[in-house]
Amino acid sequence: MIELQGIYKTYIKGQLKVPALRGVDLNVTKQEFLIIQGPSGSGKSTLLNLIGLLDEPTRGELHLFGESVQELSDRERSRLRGRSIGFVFQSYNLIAHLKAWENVAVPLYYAGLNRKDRYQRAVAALTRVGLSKRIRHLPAELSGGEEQRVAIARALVINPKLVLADEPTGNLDSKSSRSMMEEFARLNREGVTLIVATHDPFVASFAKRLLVLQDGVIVAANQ
Amino acid sequence: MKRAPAGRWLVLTAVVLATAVLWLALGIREGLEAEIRSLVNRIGANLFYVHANEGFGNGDLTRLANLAEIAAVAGEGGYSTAYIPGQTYNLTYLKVSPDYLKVFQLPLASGRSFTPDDEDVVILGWKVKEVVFGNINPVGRLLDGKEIIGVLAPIPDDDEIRRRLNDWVLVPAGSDEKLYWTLLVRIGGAAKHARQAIMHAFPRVTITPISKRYSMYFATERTLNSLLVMSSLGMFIIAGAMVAGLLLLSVIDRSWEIGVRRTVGATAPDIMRLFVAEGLFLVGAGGIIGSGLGQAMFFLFSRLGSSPRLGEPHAVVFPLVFIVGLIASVYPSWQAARMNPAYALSLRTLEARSRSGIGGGRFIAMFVVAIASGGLFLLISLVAGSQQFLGSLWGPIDERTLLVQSPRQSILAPPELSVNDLRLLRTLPGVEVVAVCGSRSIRINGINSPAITVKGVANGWANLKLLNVEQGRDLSEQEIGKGKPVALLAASFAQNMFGGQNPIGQTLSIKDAPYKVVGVFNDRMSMWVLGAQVIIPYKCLEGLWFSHSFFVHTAPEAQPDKLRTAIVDLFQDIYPNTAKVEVITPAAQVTEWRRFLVAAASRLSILVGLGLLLGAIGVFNLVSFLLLLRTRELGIRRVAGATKYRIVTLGVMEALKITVPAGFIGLGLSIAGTGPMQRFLNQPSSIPLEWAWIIIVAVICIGVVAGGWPAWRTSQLSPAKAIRRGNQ
Repeated sequence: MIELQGIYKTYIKGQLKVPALRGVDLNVTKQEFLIIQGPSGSGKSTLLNLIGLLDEPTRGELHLFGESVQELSDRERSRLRGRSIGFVFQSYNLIAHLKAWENVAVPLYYAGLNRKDRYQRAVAALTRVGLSKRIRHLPAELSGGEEQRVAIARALVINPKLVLADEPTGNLDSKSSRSMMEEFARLNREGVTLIVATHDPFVASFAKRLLVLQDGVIVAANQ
Repeated sequence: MKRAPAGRWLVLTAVVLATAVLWLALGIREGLEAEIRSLVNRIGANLFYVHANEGFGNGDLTRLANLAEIAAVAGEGGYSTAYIPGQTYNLTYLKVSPDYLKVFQLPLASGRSFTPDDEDVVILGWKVKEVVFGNINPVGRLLDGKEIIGVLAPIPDDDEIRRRLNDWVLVPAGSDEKLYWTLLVRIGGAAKHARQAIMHAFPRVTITPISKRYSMYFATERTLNSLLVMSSLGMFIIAGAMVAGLLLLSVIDRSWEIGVRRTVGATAPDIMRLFVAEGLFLVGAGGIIGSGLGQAMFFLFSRLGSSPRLGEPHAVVFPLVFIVGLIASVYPSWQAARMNPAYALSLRTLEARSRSGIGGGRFIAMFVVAIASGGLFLLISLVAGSQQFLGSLWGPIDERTLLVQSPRQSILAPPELSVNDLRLLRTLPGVEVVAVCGSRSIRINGINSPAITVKGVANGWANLKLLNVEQGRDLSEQEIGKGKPVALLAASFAQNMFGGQNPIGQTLSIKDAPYKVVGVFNDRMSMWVLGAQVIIPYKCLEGLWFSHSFFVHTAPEAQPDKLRTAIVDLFQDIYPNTAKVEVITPAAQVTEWRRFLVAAASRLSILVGLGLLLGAIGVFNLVSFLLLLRTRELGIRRVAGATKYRIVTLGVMEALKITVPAGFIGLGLSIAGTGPMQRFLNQPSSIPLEWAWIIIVAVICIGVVAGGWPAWRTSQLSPAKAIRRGNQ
């Protein structure tokens, strides 16, 4: 489903070249639950950004859902991302001036759905994550756990083939973290492929496969 | 922009104000043009004036009428005034061709038009009929020995071109070789083809459409309006730039949101549309409110007093608003669309956004201040240039210099002023110098031009120093006294006669006698009062002058107003039952123009002031945002010991870095623009660099206020709060 071959990513900061990934090879099959662990600055987020088509590798081959994404235009990458990949971030990344259901419905807007359909599907996604009573609340009126569940609902509303989560429990208490990971595990059982970047051992315990990234290189892999 | 809502309101206000002013300026312009169009439509837009220096004969008229593109042609010859002995009126005759009434669309109140066989017949203007015959229909009667065959219907006063005919008497032209000065031509088809056909038939003629003739009567209003439109367009550009600046700040502010949207599937064009829509909404809302405000302002002005004509400028304003909104949105939207999604997501905190590197905000703020300060200097140049222009019109004159002359173009008989009246004028108390002046229309030998007005001046002239002699010198008392053949030329006439050559020392032939040119005077507007192209000693053509007038210089202790009344009364006593003499002062002309200048400058200064205010708002917005992005840094500085004063200084310096260079750029731009503007206004070229300090002071003030205020607000935050906010 996902194939990375010799992936390099280097950031340029002024005169300085900062390597983030240095020759990463990785295969992810359908319905996998992959956890990527590593210390801060190890390249976890960069790897997720590349898989999620948010960024482009400096060098290397990336295949997603069976096709090479190197040659895709910005529009094609956006469409693929918007229809097949869900994202969950540590900081939730909810748009502050949109209500919970509107935040969830943002991907549907770009997918071209009309307002009525967007509303219905967003409410269904929020109900699925247990927030049916919070659909008209603004992010500022929600707790951290609730915000993260809105973010999950937004990731799920498009029925993605792949969900990418970057430190999803980073801002949550232990109870909310457990609840969220259980939700991820349930999704995975339903057929969604999950890749989660974290440095939290508790999160890692949910993995079907674990990768450890250090200084932009995969240093360990456990099944 | 969520974090700085005040910025959006201020920019919206700027768009509203700019649109309102533009709406008013364009509305007045549209009203003026509509009035001209209505005058033109009254007479027919397909009418052209064809003029040739050498005049036209009946053969030329027929030749022109036979062209396929021409529907009809009429000729207009010279006019002459006849003084009827024993009557209280005079008659001004205008020679015309038989089709004149038809081509010039002159309806008859009674009687008939001319036929080609008519001789010794006249058609009266309405006012002539009223003065001479009262309510009686004069058709069939005799006037000055000629049979009256018709009376023209009254021509409204607003019809600047034809209304003179109310006071005139039309007579059929004879069969002289060159009897028409001007041909009135009705074209049958496309104007372009007709012009080409006329030019082909008569290569040396000038062709003027009737619309241009009418426009010339509104030249002053149109010039002022053009300045207003240009200024309001400048303001609108400033408002557009402010919208662009706000959107750019909005892009930086919402960069993280852009990342989120891109993450969930938004394409680059989707993001672009988002910001274009925001820009269009802002400008559109401002445009609609501004148009309403413009209309309300006009309503208010019309209630308060003088109300200019106002047209409907929606057809121009709304597309312009849309175009400006679109242009203002393009660059910020492009910046937003090209942002890498992963990078955009990383710009979550203010601190991160401050390093985003999205440029253009400073440039736009600079642009706004540069345009506004450039406008201020242009205004200063306009006022200084106009002052210089007014100063150049006449010599060192004041309210003590009076011109006494017969009223022009009045059907009532003017007093026949003569050189003998000189003695009587000198007897009036308070009169210091009197110079007589005779006038006559003469064809200058050796040049191909219609007759020009030559004036003869007598002793006393040199003491008046009335004219501004730009080249050479004035006529001396000795030359005037002895009647030496020397001449003083109007600058425009000298240019026409001698081209690029130095006119001083050249010879001019008047009535077959050579006259040496000794000086050239500025006649840009002095012609209005003086009405002469050539000035020679009175004695040179003694006995040949008519239309006498007098230049009077009053003693310092005399009261000009009382003396004016005394002069009018004096001539009423000498020439009873005639029109009153006119007593005018060149200084009054200057005063009138100065009043116009003050009115124009005050209107423009309001616009320039608004432009500067908008510039200040633009800088305020930018500095506010820059300080917002640097909140954490400022908090750290405060922790490290920076006082509130230092924070304010930092904001002021940030603003001055924008406004001062912008002021210099604006100054440079306006210096470059002063020349074309002064040429447009027909002013002498002058750049008042000595006033440049006003621009520098203005931009420093803007910097201090627009930078100091947001910095002061930021300085009020506690250091801990500032650091916390910076991390948000």
